[in-house]
Amino acid sequence: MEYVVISNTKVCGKVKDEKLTKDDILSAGGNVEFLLAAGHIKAANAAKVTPAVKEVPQALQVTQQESEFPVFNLDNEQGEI
Amino acid sequence: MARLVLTNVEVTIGAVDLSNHIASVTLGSTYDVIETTAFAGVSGAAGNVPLAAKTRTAGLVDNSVTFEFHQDFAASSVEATIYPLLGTEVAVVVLPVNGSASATNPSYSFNAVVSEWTPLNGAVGELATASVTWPITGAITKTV
Repeated sequence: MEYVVISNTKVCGKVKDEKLTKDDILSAGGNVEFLLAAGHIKAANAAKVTPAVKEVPQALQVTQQESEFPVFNLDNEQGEI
Repeated sequence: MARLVLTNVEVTIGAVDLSNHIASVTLGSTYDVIETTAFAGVSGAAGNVPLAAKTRTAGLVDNSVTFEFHQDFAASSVEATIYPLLGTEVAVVVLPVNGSASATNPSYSFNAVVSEWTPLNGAVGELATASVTWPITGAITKTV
């Protein structure tokens, strides 16, 4: 696992934006979790999180007009359906 | 031998180089002195005065390190680095001059117990500092 230095202080002799491995950190007496929590490093190969958007199948798409259930108009003050 | 004026000491705490926020460092070792005087061991005389001297040997060594930090609450600076370490052991490396270890620039590596921390210390108009003395667990490894 590779990490990137993100703080302005040297970490394991590496400056900001330089990469280092878990072995580099452990051999220098560092602790990966601590360095991550303190904001000194971040994972270099952290995958980008993109929300999964699934298309709704055509058959499951229900429009207001096709609905078999009554649709109440809440703006109707007289309570007519 | 050249005398050394400390201007560029390298201090790494938990693999993080905090040298630019440390103004003072003291690394010390003190051995317990164990008395070994016994009846049969006291001997000798100078004229009419008996030389009854105690004998001693070195016992366990007690190592400690003292730092004076310049406090900094910025992200991933002094406070963010030290505060989470309170009550834990951390690897520390100290070199007289920033760079590689050599016979004239020995590296001292050890594990310190972060037993105290002063997040805020100072009077009006003064620099916020934190002076700490941390006991060292185990031996100090000197690398040349």
